[in-house]
Amino acid sequence: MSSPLPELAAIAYFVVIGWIALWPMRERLGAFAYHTAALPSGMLAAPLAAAFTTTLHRPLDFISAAVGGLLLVAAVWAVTWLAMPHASAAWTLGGSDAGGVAKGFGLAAGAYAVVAGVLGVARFTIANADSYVSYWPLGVELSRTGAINERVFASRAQLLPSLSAIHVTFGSDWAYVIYPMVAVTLLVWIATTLWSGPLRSASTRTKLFVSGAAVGFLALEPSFVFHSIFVHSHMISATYLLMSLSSLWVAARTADEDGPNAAWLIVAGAFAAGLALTRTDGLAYEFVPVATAIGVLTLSKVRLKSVVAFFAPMMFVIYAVFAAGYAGLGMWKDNKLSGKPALMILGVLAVAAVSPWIVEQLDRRLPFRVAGERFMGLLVSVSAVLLLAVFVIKWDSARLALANTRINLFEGAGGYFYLWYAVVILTAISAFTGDALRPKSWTRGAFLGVALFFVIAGLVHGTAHAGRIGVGDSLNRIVFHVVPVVVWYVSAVVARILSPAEETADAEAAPTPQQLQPDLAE
Amino acid sequence: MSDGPREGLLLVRNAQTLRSKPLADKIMLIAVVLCLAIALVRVGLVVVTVPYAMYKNSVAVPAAGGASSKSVGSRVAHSWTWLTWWGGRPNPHRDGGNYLGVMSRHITSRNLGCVIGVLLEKDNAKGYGITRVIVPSDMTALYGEESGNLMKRADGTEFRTYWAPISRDAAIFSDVPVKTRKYDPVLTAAQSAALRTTAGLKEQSKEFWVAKPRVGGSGQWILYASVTGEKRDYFFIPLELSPAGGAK
Repeated sequence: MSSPLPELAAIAYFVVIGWIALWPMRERLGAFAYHTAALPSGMLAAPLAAAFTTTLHRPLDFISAAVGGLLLVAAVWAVTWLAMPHASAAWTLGGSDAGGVAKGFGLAAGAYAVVAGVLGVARFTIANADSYVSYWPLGVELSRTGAINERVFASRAQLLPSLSAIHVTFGSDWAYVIYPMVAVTLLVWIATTLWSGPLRSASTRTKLFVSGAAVGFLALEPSFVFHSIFVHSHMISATYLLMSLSSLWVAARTADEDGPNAAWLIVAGAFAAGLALTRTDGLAYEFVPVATAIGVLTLSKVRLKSVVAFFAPMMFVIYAVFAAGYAGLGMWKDNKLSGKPALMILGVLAVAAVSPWIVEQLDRRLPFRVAGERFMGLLVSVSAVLLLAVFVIKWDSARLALANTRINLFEGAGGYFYLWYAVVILTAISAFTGDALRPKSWTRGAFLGVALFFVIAGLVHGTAHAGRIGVGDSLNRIVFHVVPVVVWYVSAVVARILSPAEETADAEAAPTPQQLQPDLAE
Repeated sequence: MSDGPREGLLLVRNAQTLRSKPLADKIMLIAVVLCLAIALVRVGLVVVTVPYAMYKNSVAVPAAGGASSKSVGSRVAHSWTWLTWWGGRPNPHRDGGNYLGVMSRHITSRNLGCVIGVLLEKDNAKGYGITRVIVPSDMTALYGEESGNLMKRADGTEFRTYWAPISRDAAIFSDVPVKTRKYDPVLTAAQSAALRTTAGLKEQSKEFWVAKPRVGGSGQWILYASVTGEKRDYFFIPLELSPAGGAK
């Protein structure tokens, strides 16, 4: 058995890059969120390193990995400087409790080391053909040649092969640790955001019960356990989706006179980039956080700084990687995502970046409201009607896709047992409790985010290919991405029920950033 | 973390508030608790029954003259609680230790024909097919640098496997002489028949080219097949640990 040390070194590289990139935002994010976000943030250095090597035709060695990290840090710091100029004190330790910061880093580093060490010794893994024919060997090839090839852009997306390439550069033979590490990150993030978000006015015992139940439910759910060690795109996609969405919800709920909380917008944008680059269809699901962001950015007067905070990190990472691809490959043609549709989607993303102002103008001119919280509701409604129309037009393939999905999710073939019955029933009950669309609540955004996810899933998978029956079906695996969001949503509903003070939250002033910082030593 | 009397007061207040909650809220809480209970019961059943299934397959069955199951996955494969909970997904494993080890779990020469056959049957109409096989003449290019499994050659010398290179063409072997060989079947007739039955193939493909290294060791065969099509490539590096007799 080969040593786990190279893998641990690769993970340490990602965490350190994440720490450095998020450094100026650590006070606004709070200790738990800052340290938890370090790994998934740092992982974005991998596709940037690959973009660098593809452009300069050099192998993805340690120098290239370092350059990828520097690119990420420079981009995030530049956005932070533009979006949070008044947070200049956060660039240094000035004013901070240096001892407390050091203690936080020590505890976080220790936690990372213990978890990664245990996983590195256990070395459980699950692979399918995609894992050992694509995700890992493409990374090996990328590490050697430095070029993101056509198969990466057309079939597998850029993040996972480049993540594998960094592992190979550090001397690893297989990725045993990074996938379960991301799963643990997701669990900690759920507890952190629930604790300091929907549960903030609850008693400590209620906080422990609700956040513990959410984490426990996911940790005991076999699909979660499976994807935690499955060398594939699903756990990473699920993590980026939840982290991006929940960051946007927190940004909205901690808005001040300068607009939504810029630090949370920046990390939301970075995580949205991760979602887009993890799978080729990630560019489609990317519009779940993008639409949520447009709603958040139009809650009050649209500010350039806020738009830059979300869209700049997202677009920098995505555009840098795709620019390298177009420069090296031209307009590639292949099976899942060819160059032309990818270019169109990138164009739509650029339009999305100016859409907050468009929505704001429409809101002024139309007789009904379209901005702020209304935006997601309207978008989901319109796109659901569009989905129905597409299903009617392409009924033959849609009928087969719906039948396969029904058999997979509700009749046991997809391995979910009762999970999707529970999702449907709990969501239906939440409609009766009023949480699904409750204005100015933690639950509305989550509910509409889940709804938009399924509309996009219907458009992507309901018509293009009908899928197949069994656990290996693409849609059957992709629906897992939204399971943590559903768990977060249900937990937020329970938090509202169990926290009497929360019922009057609409009338409360938004919590300050300090209130959203659970003390690491608590 | 908890602050004693205040915490108690809060709980009492919460309980009182709960009684005054609307019916929908109460139903929501009951449904959530029910879901948590189902999750716990399912895991509980697995925790209680799977160790016995593993014991049975690793100790009791061999003691009675049956075949022992070596991997964790095969030991739990007949436990209905595990199968119900895990939902028919591939079982986790921890043996192997590297890429080739992981590959060996999935692709051996016993299922090479199955995998390639399925792909070719599926995509033949689109013009896909295996065009050639690349075999490095120099074995070190295949096994190369030290990492992974310790293996023994026929002459008794040991080597460690290295990630076997994958490429669409011979370019990656630019510093190594390469040669191609025609299909050299390693499947027995019985194995081929079993594969056809298992995979439900109408006809196993005879078109793919597979090569074997000049020197095999300790019964290992490294087969390297490059599958290329008009628009799509498939790559396989099958590793069979004990081809003789078929059973691994």
